[in-house]
Amino acid sequence: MPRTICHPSTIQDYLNDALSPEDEGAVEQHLTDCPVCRQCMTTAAGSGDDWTTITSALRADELDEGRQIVSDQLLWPLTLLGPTDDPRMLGRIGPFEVSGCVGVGGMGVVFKARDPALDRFVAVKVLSPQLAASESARSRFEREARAAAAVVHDNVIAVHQVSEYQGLPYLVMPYLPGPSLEERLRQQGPLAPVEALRIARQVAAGLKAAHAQGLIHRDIKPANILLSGQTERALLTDFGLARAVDDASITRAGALAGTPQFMAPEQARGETTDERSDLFSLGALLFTMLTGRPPVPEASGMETIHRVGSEQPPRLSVLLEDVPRALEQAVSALHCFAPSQRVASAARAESLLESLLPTAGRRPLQRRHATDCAGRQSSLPANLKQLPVWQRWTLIVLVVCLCVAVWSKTSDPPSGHSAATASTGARRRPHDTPGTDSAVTGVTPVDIDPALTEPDSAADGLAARFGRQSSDTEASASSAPELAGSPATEQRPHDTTVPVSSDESESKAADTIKPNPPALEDPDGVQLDALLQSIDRQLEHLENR
Amino acid sequence: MVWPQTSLSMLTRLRDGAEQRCWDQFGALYRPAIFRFCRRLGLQDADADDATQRVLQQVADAFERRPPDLSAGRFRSWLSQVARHTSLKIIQRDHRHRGSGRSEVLQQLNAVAADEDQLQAMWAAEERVALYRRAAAEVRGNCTPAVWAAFEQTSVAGRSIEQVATELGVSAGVVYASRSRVLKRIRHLVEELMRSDTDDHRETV
Repeated sequence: MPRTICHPSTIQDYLNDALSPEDEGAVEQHLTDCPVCRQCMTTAAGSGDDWTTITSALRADELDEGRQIVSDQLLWPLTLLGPTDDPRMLGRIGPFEVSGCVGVGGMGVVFKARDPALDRFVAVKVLSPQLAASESARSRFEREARAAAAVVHDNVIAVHQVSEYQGLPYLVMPYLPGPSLEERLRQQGPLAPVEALRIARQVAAGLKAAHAQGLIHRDIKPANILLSGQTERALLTDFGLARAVDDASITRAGALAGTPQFMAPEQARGETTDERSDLFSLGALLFTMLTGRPPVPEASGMETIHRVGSEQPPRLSVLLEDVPRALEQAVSALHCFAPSQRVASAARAESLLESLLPTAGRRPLQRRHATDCAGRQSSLPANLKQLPVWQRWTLIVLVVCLCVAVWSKTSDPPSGHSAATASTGARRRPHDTPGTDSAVTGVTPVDIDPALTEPDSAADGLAARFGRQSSDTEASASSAPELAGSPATEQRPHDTTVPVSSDESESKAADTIKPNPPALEDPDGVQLDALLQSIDRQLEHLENR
Repeated sequence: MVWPQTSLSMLTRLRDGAEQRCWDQFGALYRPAIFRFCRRLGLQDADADDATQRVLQQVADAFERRPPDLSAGRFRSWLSQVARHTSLKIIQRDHRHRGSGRSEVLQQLNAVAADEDQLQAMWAAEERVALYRRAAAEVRGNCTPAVWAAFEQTSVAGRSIEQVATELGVSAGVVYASRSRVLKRIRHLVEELMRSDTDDHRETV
C-alpha cells in the first residue's frame, strides 16, 4: 500500500520501526531535501531537553580521564551473525539480512531482519549458544517450533520458518513493532476490566488452538503476549521455548531463564503439566492486568519457585476495591491452586471470559490502601530468617505486643470473628512458615468456593490496619541490621520516616500513579509511630551488643 | 528493546543469592558511577580507581553478610555514604604517608560530605550519567557502526551533518534519520529503566 512519505505519522512510524524496508529507504531519501520533515524527525526523537541531556551525558569531561564513554562490550549477539555485503546491515542469518537486535533474553536473541524474498521485515529468533549446546534442548526447540508453526490462529504468532544457521536453530516470525503486554502494563499500570478481559479472552482462544494440537505453552506471561497496533489484537509468542530451557538443565543450576512468577504450582514443583497449567498462568496474567502487578512479587528464582509451588494464590479483592463478584470468581477459577478445581479447558476459559465482557467496567479497579504493604509483607519471613533465633523471638514478642496495643486502642470494636482471625494471624507468625502471610492481614486463603468469595468488609477493615503495622515493623526490623556498622547509621532520624525519593521524576511518577500514599494519618498512627521507633531502638541496641 | 534487568530488581537478585551475571551487570552500571563520584569528591584517577574497587567490595560484603534494605532511596543513600567514607579514608591514608599537600583536599572533602543533600544530589547525577551511558552502550550494540557514528559524530562530537554524511558515504537524510533513531532508542531505554525503578519503589514505599 503506498504511503505519504512527507507526513508526521510516517516519521513516527519510522522511529517506531514500523515501516517496510522500502518505506524506510524512502523516508531517509526524503529527509535530505525536506527541512520540515527533518525538524519533525528531530523533535519526534526527543525534546530539546532530551537532546541536550543525553548528548551531554555522553560527552567526556575532566572526570573521565580519557576512559571509554560508551562501552562497545555489548556487541556479542552480533558474533552470531554471518558477514553481509550490504553496509547498511549488521550481518546475516541464512538468507535474512539483519538490521538490528530487538532483544536479548535468557533463551536467545531476537533480531530484526529483512526477508529478501518478500522485501518485508521479520523477527528472527536464535536459540542462545548456551542452550543450543544441549542436544535435547536443541531438538526440543526445533520440534516445538515446528509444532507451533502448525498452529494457525489469529491469536498465535505465525512461525514462517524453522531452520538452523551455523549450528544454532532459529525461527522466523512476522516482525511486530507493537508493545508487549509487559511494556503496556509498565507504561499504563493496571488495565480496565473490559480491556483485561478482552486480552485474556484472546489468549484463551490462542491456547485453545494450540492445545488442540497437543501443544502446551508453559510460559504464559505478559512479555510473551504481543499487542498489535490499534486493533488491540493479542498474539501469543514463544511456544515451546520454556521446555527447551528445562532440557538444558539451566534451571537446575539456579539461573532461571524466565520468571517463574506466572507458573502453575504443579509446574513449579516439577510435576507433570498439562493444558490446565497454561490456564493457571492465564489466571495469573489476568490478575496482573487488573492489579498492575504479578500475584507473586519478584524475588530470587528459587524463592519464587518455592512460593508459587506451595502457596495459595492471592484473591483479587485482597488488593482491589469493589471487585465484581463474577470477575473475582473467574480469576479464582483460573488462578486456582489445585489443577482438579481449575477451569478444565481453554475453550471453557474463553467462553467464561467472553460472558463477562458485556458487563465489564471501563475503568481500572482501585487499589486498596493496605495493598502497598503486600510487597514488603511478603519479604518479612525472609528477613526474619536472617536474624539469630533469640532476636527473632524478641521481635516477634514485640510485634504481638504492638498488635494487642493497637487493637485495644481501636475505637470501633471489631466483630468477634475478624478479631479472632487477626489474632490467630499474629500467633501464627512465630512458626514463620511461608504461606501464613495472608493470615496476618486477616484474610484467609480461599479456594474457589463461591460461597467464600463474598468480601467480608469488617475483616478487610481490620486487615488494612494490621497490614500496615506488620509491614512497618518489617521496614524498621530490616533497617537496623542493614545499617549497623555502616556509615549510614548517622542518618537514623531520617530513616524512620517514610523513605523519600531523591529523584524528582520518580516521586512525581509515584504521585500520579498512587493517589493515596500510605501515611500515618489516623490518631492511632501517631502511637504506632512511637511504638515502631521504640522497636527500632531496641533492635539497634540488640545489634550493637 | 529489552534492558537486561532493572537496577532495582537487579539489586533484589543480588540480595537473594547472587549470580555472577548479576554482579557483572551491577559492576557495569555502578563502577563508572562510583568512579566519577569519587573523582568529584576530589580523588585523583588512581585513587578513585582504588576507592571504586573498595566500594564494590564493601557492597559485596554487605550483601553477603545480610540482605540490605532496598526501599526507595535507602540503597542510594547508603552507597553514597560508603563512597564518601572510603574516599575520606584514602585521602587520610595518603595524607599520613606522604605528609602534607592533601590537607586542603581533606578540608574540601569534609565540607562536601557534611552536606547530606548535596552528597545525594551528586550521587544521583552520577547515577544518571551512568544510566545514559549504559543505555547508549546497549543501543550501540544493537545498531550498525554507521548508524551509531551518524549519531555520535553529529550530536556528541558536534560535527556538521554534511561532513559526516560524506565521510560515511551516505546521504544527509540517512544521517538525520539515523541520529534521531539512536537518540529515541536511548531515551526509550532510560525511560523504561526509570519507570520500572519507580514501580519497584512504589511497592516498597
